[in-house]
Amino acid sequence: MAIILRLDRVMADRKMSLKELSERVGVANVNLSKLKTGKVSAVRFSTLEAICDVLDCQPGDILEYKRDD
Amino acid sequence: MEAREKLKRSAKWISVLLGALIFISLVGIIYSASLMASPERLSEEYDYGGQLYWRDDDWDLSMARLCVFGVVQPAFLAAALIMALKMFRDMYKRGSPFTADTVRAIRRIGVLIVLLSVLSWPIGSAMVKLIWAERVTFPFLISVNVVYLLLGIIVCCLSAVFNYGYLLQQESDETL
Repeated sequence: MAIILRLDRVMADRKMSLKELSERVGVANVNLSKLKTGKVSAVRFSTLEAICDVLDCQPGDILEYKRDD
Repeated sequence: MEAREKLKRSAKWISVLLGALIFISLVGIIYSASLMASPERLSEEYDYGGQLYWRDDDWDLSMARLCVFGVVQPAFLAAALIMALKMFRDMYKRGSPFTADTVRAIRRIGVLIVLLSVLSWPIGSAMVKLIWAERVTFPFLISVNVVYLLLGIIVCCLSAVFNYGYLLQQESDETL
């Protein structure tokens, strides 16, 4: 996949657990886990905004584009 | 969430209604089959009643009409209603009309209605010829019911619309 999610890395930097993030963002633990493992096909701006707000980061810190070879 | 609850409520009531219709169809089939089993009773009962589909001077065709409209078509419709009932039960359980099962069920109902429009007279006439071979004089009857045919085609088209709805639902479910 060309878009890679780096949520786990940012969470590790902020020392935040998945449970805490899911409670603060208001997204179910299961769904956040899917997002972490890249098993979703799209992310709403509102979800991205909430994650960036809680983790105090930029969308670019979470999303990374990698060219397919 | 409220829309989902509304859908579930509607699906529940429609299931009850479909269950009642299936019961009526099955009772109708059994009654018609019992009339077919004793044609003497039928001709006595309806000899002076002015029954639309029954004429003693045209016994074999009247029997074919009874078979088609009383047994074959209600049997096809009951099968379609059972499929619809299953579909609405699934809808009640899942809370969404846009699932792969719904699309498949709608397509099957459409095909069944198309088959009903084309096959009801051949099946009915064949049944009558098979049961009363010595009394039946008409040839193998073929007739297409245009209303059912159009209805079946429309239901099949509806399944294509629901298929697109299913794809959109999938997209929505995979969006976080």
